[in-house]
Amino acid sequence: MKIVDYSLRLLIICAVAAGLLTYVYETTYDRIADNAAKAKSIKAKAILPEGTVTVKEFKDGEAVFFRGYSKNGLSGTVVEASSKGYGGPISLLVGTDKDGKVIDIAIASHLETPGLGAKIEEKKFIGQFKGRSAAEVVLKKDSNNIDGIDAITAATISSRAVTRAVKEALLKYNEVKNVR
Amino acid sequence: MLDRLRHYWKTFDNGILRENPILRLMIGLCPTLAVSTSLINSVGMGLATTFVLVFSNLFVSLLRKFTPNGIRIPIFIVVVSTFVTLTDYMMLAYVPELHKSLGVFVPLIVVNCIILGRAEAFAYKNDAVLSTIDGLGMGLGFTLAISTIGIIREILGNGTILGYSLFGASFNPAIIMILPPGAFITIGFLMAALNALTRKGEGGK
Repeated sequence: MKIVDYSLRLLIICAVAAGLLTYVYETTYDRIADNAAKAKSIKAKAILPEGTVTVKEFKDGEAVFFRGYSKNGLSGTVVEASSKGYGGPISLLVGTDKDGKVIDIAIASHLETPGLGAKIEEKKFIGQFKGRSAAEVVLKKDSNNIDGIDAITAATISSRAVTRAVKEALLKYNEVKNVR
Repeated sequence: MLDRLRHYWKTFDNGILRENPILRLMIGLCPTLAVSTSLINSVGMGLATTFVLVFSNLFVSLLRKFTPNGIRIPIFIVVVSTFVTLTDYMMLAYVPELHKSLGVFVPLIVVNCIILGRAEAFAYKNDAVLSTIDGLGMGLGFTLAISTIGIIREILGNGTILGYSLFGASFNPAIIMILPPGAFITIGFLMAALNALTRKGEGGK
């Protein structure tokens, strides 16, 4: 009975595989969640102004955001946002000052084409957002605004997605800025 | 003893030139096209693939007595995907820094037919030591080939090497080289060069 033999062998292999996967998933779950949270707060701290000592996580319903504190009090707020890029979701962190203007941006994760859309991580592109308020976050080629943001050559969709996410983050900041 | 070592060496260097996965067997082209846009990505992909290839060959070889011919492919797939997923979790938990640079390549490796190809063509028929050596050789051959492609495409398509600008701001890079057609063009020229070189060695046959 070949079919029984085959089925049994496949069953054994799959059962061992499932057992191993479950065991490793369970034992690493907490560490992985912990690492992700740590990485995020380090990233949040990096885009807040120098002199920021502590970063605290806040929740407002679904939204998660961070506040950074220096010796003199609140130094800035970090808001998360994401949008659909060319290769998949782009998620980023935007640091804002108390007026809702961009301090700095960090791309948390993206799946854009290496060498093209992946240039959204470069200072040359991301640096353009500094000091802008929500109304000023717009691509040059999508508006008549000559002070708009230069899109990356051959990566308009990626550039547009980042612009959209930054704008969304700044609008979100206005909703959460008074949360205690 | 010496014969045995020679046999090991032959198995190892088989993957580097004679049966180079990309330039000779033409397998694993999909991740090659996607990733070889810069040197650093190519090296990352190459190393991650080598790691998975060595262990998948080892496990497939160890299980070969247990694996009947009729259901070998499903068993290979379960073994390889389990191993890759476990590696992903372990990297996330214990070396998150490494995962940050290599993690994006892991899902690409699962669909890389080099892994299944070597399981089928080599590890299923040979012992664990030889299979591990074959995995190392093939992985290294893949890494060398994809890195060469990466160097060429990064210089021509982006004007940089490892992120450092080579020609200054006035250089206008050929964007086609970092798009998929650029990979095909590069692979074509490299294959021609490799064929020309090795044919000379065989006495102009």
